[in-house]
Order: sequence, then structure tokens, then C-alpha cells
Amino acid sequence: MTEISAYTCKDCGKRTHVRHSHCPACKGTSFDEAPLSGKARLLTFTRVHALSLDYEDRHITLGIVEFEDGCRALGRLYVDDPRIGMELTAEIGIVRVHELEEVKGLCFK
Amino acid sequence: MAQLEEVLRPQVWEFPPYPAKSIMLASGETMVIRQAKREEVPVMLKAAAALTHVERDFYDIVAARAYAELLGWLRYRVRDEYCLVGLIDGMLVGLVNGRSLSKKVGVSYHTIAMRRGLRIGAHLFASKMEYHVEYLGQQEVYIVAESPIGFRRWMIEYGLEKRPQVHHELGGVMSWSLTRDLYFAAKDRLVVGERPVSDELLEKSATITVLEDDALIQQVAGKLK
Amino acid sequence: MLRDVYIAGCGMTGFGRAAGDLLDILEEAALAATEDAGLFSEIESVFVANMGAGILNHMSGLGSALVDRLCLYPTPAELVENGPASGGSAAKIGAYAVGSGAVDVALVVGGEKMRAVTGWEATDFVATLSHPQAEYIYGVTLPALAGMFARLYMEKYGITPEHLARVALKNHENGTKNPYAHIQQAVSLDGILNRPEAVVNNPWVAEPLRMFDCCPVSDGGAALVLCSKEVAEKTGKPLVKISGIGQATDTHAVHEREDPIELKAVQLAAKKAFEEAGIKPSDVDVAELHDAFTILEIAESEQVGFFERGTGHIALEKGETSLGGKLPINPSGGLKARGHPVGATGVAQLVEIAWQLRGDAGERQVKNARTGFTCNFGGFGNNVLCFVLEREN
Repeated sequence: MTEISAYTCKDCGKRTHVRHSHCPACKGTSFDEAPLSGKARLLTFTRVHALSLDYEDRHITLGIVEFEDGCRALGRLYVDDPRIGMELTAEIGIVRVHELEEVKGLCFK
Repeated sequence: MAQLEEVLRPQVWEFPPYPAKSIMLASGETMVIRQAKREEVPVMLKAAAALTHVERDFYDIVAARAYAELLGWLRYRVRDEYCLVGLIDGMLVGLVNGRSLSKKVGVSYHTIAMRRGLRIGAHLFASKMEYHVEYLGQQEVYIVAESPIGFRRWMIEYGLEKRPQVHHELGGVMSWSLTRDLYFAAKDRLVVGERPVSDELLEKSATITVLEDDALIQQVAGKLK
Repeated sequence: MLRDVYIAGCGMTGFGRAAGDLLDILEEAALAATEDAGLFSEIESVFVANMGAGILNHMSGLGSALVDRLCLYPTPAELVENGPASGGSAAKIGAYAVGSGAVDVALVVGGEKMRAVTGWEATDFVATLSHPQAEYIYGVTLPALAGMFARLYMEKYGITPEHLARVALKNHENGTKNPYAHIQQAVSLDGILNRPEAVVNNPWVAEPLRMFDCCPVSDGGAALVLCSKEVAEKTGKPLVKISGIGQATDTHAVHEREDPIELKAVQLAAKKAFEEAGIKPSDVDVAELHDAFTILEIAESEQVGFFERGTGHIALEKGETSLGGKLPINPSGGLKARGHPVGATGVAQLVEIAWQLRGDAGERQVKNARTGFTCNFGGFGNNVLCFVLEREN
């Protein structure tokens, strides 16, 4: 997988990163799937120090962002001094090595 | 006989002392960390002996080896060894030891916390690194560990460097090194304490007391519920 | 419910590190509760709450395992898993079994053995409740979700690190009065916050949360015997009624919530529990809230309705939530000090409140407590159970 998807409800246009059978806004049941990318605004973040054994980093930074179309997602932050409200750009990168497998996900710079 | 003993006894480097410091713990209690004197080794041996039967978190191995190291120091069989103790009102709550391999290189031996949940081990380990780098002026300290929990914590918190070519005297596993640069990069986060220690506190810490064996074991292994 | 449900018996194991295995924990809690109730062979149904035996202990089928240990077969039994709200869920299902008239006596036992693995593995195990693709893969932990929540909540309402530390201080202090608590050690504001040593004493876990903002990883079990009024009256114990139960769910991934600091499932579950009991939040004398993180005690104290939004930390500061205050919260020490064996917690909260209402809470007894409340927070607020308990006679 080299892309991370988002799902747009064909009925009301609500876009979510998490896949649902029913649209959280209008309960619609058909969606267009498209890659999640572009610019996003940082809503909140944390620098996590107590990590799982998958990580040898002293800490990683995670944040929740909102894309320009309102779609929200959580991802890894590569920003030295994160501030709520700052603009970030999404990229796909390796976010975890779990049981020797590299896992790709959203990274924000 | 005396002549033979002279051969067996290592040369002693009169290294600079570790100046005592005090640390307030999460509980609000004050722990004094000071250098132990050679004549205080027997009381530490008593505590270490009690812990040699605690399997939890590798206390048995750590305590057994520390016992041997401290005994070696007491009976003049280890060169340039030192021991720092953590004391609350004179009660022994932890100890760390190590030695100097040379004027430039230190070797970390063991860290034993005798009370849990108050980061006593973290404070003592940091003090040991402080001693090697800041007071003995060494360039690096070789580190290995028996306890995976402790070791992973040191490795990640200090960002230790691998030293695959170094055979640490505690065993054949991979050696790691804390260099001066790594130490100073981590110092603000990991090394704390106040100096000088007041005369009153020093006096309270002048004599080391230890818990009775059963109480000490329970304090370390946790009350099993 | 078709008829009233009462708590006839309560039991707990000491939380912390258990000598035995998970089944021993469940057995000990179950026997304590059945002995307290004086009911054993009368039990008609068994509900075991556990979150992680499959991952942590390589065990499954705990309902069957426990009835076998107790030789209660052929009594029906099952395992209830609902993350850290497993205990609340099992108690709800047990109460519904009695309340529906299906059975007269039900045994609810929650237990977890988490210290079979390292702290890192335990944290990762709890994180498996997060959304697999949208959260878990990023290395999300529950403290991470709580950290992001805390950052927003603190900024919005002017909550300081000192307020968080005061939750820990209060709950650790309460824990010293609870012989079942995992941590029976008081902490000081200087030691965990004000002094320079605090950077080592109280390291970051997930900023802005530090070690003393997070509950420990615990083993432990708790159990309740639930029954009909007729059965309860025969026990001769003070009558403690489950007068309201509320449960609600919310989005799996936290980022899908319109406002990430609105704990809607908490609000709805509490509202339903209060409505069912026919009381107001201000009628509550004592509460056990799910302080897996200090910020959660403050946020829940507002969102269940005890305090106006943005004033929970002020009530805390004034001592209103301390023992002896207007509304003592977490007299047991809460998850912070009593400990948080995830599957046991919801049951342990109910046990504490039942003890408080019966006047059996020893040194931490809240005077004249007649109405109690619990909030058991599953996921990061995606599945929440609230209970109102009342003393009748």
C-alpha cells in the first residue's frame, strides 16, 4: 500500500479517513475512495515518550489534523515546534516497524 | 604471607571523591546520595545477600554479582572500585557501583534500587554517570546490563552507543558506552540534585542502616497480593 | 428493568502484583463476594469481565474456567469483553439478568493479570483497542490519546500542570487509606512538580502528561453478587440498590469526534443513569470516576454533571472532591492509586461505592453516604458505563 485512503459520501459529500458502512453525517451507504493528501491544519498533538517495543526512539510526536476539505486524521508529526493551528503537508512514510514489517502511514511536515 | 598478599592486592588509584548531593523524591522524602566508605561494605553486603533470592526483575543476579564486587573491594581484590549509596534518613534505599578501567575509561557495574516506584534507580544510575564523567573526568563509561527493563530504559534515555569490540568485564554480551557528549546531552533531563548537602542531612546519612531481610525483600519484590 | 436489582455481596483482591495466575485472581474475588453475600450455591449465572487474557495470559473461555474452579457447573457463564469498560459491562449484563427476572442471583467477576508482561507490552496491549488503521499503526497509546485530549482541555479551561498533579496528590493520599490499593504511597507537589528533581521523579509519558498523571499497570480482581430484593433482604446486609445504569458509545477513532474534548459517551451514559435513578448529579454523595489519567477525573467530573464545564479543576483546588469535601471523588484512590487491572476496574468501582454506602469503607469512609455514582470509561471514551447506587434502608 503506497496510498492512504479517504472516503467521500456520495450523498452528502462528507469525507472521512476511517471507512464506515454508513456515512457518519447522513447515513448514506455509497462512497468514493481517493488518496488522502495535501495540506492540513494541526488540531492537537502530543510528544509520546512511553512507546511500544516497536520503537527505539526516545519519543515520537503524534497529532490530529484537519484537511482543507474537513477530513480528519491522526498521523506522525515531523515538526520541531508543533503549534495548534499550524499548517502541515501530508506525506506517506514508514510510521512503525511491527513484527519486522514496515507499516506506512500519514506523516505531516 | 604478607608478601604474597601484596602481590594479590591491586594498586590503588586515589581517585577524586564524589561530593554528596540531596534529591527530593516524588514522595517528598529527601534522599542523600554519597560515596560509601570501604568500612561500610559489610552493611551493604547484608542487604545484597538478602536480595540474592529475589528472582523478580533479575534482582538475584544483580545482587549476587554486586555482592561479589563489593566483597572484592572490601578484601582488596578489585581495583579502583567505588560505590555510591542512596540514603533516606540513613536508611539504605539503593546503591550503585563501578570502577575505573583507566583514567579515561570507566566501567559501570550494578544498580540496585531497594524501594520501588520512586525512580531511585534512575537517580543512582545518573549519579554514577555523573561521577565518571564530571568528577573522574573520564571520556566514556562501558555499560552492560542483566535486566532487560533497566537496560532498555538506559539505552533509550541516554542514547548509548554500541561498542561491539569491547569485552565488558561482566560478560560476553554487547557492550554499550556513555560518552561525555551523550552524558552532557542528557544531563538536563536525567541528572539532578542539590549540593552542598547541609551538615544536618550529612549527619543523618553518616551511618548506613538497612532493613531486616524479610522487610527488604518485600519492599523490593512487592507485597504479593 | 422489570424489577429492582441489589448488591448482596462485594469482594476484591489486593491490586498490584498478584502471586497467582488470572484464574486465582478471579477465584479470590469471587469467593470474597460470595462469602460477603452468604450466597454461593444460589448463583444462577456467572459473568466474567476481562479484556486481555487472550493477549496477556494466553487464556480464553474464562467464564467456563471460573465455574469449573468454583465447581458451580452447570451454572451458565460467559466472558464479557468491552476494553477497560469490561467490568461495567459485565455488571450491567448481570444486573439486566436479575432485573429481567431471568435469574435471582448473578455473580459478576472482573479480573486482569497485566504484570505477566513488561510495561511496554502492557501499554501496547491496551493500545490494541484503538482504531487499527487510523490510530494503532502510528504507535498510538492510551496515554498519547489522553495527552492530545489534555492539551486541548487544559488550554481551553486554563487547567495547569498543578491541577493535574493535585488529582494525583488527592488520589495517592486516598490510596494510603485503602488496603486494597496498588499504590499506598503519598506524593508531594514539590516532589512531582515544583522542584528541579521533578524532571526525573515524574518524567514525560505523553506531553503534557507525566508519569504521575497516569494510572499504574496492575493485576487484580473484583466481584459482586447481584440479586433480587427478596434475596437481598434475607442477607441481613444494608440494602444497596443499582438504581440507574447508563451506557453510550462514540466514534472508535478519537479524531472523528466533532470536538475531540467532548466526551459524548460520558455525557449520555451519565444522563441516562441519572434519569433512570430519578436523581440529579447534585444528589450524589460519593463518586468513583475513571481517572486512568488525571485529566480524565477533571473532565469527567464536569461532563457527568457534577460541576459546570471548566470548573472541575476549581472544585478540586477547593478540596470539594477530597475526602471530607462536598463530593469526594475516588475515595478508593481511583485508577491512579488503587490501580487499573483493566477488566476489573468497572467492578471495583461498584464495590467501592457499595462499601461506602454500607458504611464499610474504613478510614476512607465518606460520612452519611447514601447515593453513589461510578463512571467506567472504555476505549478512549468510545464506550462508557455509568451507574447510580443508592442505599435504601
